[in-house]
Amino acid sequence: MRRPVAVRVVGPLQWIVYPALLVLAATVVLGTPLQLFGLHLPEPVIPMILAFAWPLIRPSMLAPAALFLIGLFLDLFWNTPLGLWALCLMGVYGTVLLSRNLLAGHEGLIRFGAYAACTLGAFFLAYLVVTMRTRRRSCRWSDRSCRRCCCFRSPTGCLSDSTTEIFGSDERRALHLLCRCE
Amino acid sequence: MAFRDGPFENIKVPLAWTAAVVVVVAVIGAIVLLLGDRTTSEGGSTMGAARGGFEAAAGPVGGVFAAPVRWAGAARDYVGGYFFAIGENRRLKAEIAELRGWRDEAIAQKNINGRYEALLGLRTEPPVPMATGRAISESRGPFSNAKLIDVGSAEGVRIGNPVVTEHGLVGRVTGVTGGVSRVVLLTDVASRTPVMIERTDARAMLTGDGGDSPRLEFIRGSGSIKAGDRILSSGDGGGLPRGLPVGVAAKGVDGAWRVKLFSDHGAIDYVRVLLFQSFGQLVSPNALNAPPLAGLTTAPEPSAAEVGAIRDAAARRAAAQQAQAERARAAAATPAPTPAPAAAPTAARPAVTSPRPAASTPSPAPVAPSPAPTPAPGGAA
Repeated sequence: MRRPVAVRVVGPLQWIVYPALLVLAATVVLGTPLQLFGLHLPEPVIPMILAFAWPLIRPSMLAPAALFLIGLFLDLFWNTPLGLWALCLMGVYGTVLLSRNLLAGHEGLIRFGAYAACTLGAFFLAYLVVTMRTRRRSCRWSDRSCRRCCCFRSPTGCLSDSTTEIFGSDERRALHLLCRCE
Repeated sequence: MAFRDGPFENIKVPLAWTAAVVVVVAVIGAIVLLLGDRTTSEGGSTMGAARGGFEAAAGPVGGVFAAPVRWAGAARDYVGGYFFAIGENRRLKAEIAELRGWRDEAIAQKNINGRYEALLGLRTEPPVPMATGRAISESRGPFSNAKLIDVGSAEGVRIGNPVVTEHGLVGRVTGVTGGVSRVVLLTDVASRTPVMIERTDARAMLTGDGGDSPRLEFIRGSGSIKAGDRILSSGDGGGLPRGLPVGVAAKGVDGAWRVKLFSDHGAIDYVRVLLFQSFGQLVSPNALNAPPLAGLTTAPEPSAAEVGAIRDAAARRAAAQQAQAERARAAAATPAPTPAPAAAPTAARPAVTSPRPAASTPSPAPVAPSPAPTPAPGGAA
């Protein structure tokens, strides 16, 4: 008598949804404020694994959409600019999708090298975006000598841009005096 | 007829192409979102509604994971309290003995300070109310350093409020929902905090760069900082109260001045949010915008005696002015070779009973000679 062979179905649920939920759960757990011996929990960008594996093994239309949503989740959860990690993950996905024919069939070490390169590229992209955002709003005051030293900003915004709205003209004048350059 | 034998049987689109189309659309969407996510004037985000909704949901989830950590920490402290009770007791006794002297000195200084303030008419900042909360989730790394804390607008927290621990300044609130707030730490890349160096009172800008020790930029004056200087918040710009402890200055390996934060000394689990808005909260804007000497128009009505004195002084001043004018006319009529003596100090002396003739009395020495008679200022009382 033949025993029935268990056929393991790998559909979108198994290939896209469960890994995505797993990755999100791991991200949330690693966001716990725990400090042991002065060390924090590590905080890797775990969805990078999916962004590398999904296009390489089985590209689909659902995967980029799911990855985009995961990226938005990361941005909201980590308080990064909205769209930052969505963009970086999509960059990795697109790159791997384009270089799929080159990567497929190589041995593990080369694939790992490609993964490391993709991760570095994504971080570089994130670095560029964050740097551009923090340097973008420079001081727009007319005084050139003041411009250099007045580009201080509130936690996420340029103080000097909106000084009048926040502090009124008197405080703005005080700030101007404060940062007068010798 | 099988399912696949349809009219679209012969149309075959490569799977990678369709995926690429989705990727392109998603990249465009991400860029649009990035461009749309700007900072509002009070320090929040234009996507504040989305962020707020997410944080309201993420707060309880983070709280579920943070609670066991807190319980474990409390249990460890409880057990450790038994094991190290004697050593702790000795240490605390020594500390108390040391602190007693400081307490007496603080009382004396407070007394002297109060007298100085009274002498100078100094208006110090009123005490700032606080709300205490716990960290329930955090993010670290080069692109973001932020925390979620479990106090929100229900406790009065607003965007821009400074957040401190018992060690020192931690960051500022950038997003608020009913029960959860987002705190951006001083180490975040977007964090800029006006600070001062306590020893020299020089100003600088504390600039987060994702590392543990933020940079000091735009330090004013040469030689105004050295390693070990205490860094305090300066209160410039009105975003933070003045004098919150921030850290200690140290030279980084890259040669830039950096600040070792006081808040690094312990885990940031309990925090206090200072419900501090700006200077506008401390004084009424009408008092600031009042024209100079506005008090003159609001002075109380003079009493009868004061009215008499004022009228008397005004009459004397008018008489003195008239006499001076006559003298000047007489001097102009007779061309005298000698220069006219100094004008009599009539205008400045309302107490003189009658206007004296100028020629007969020499003027007091320090009065400057004034060739032309000038009307007394404010004479038209």
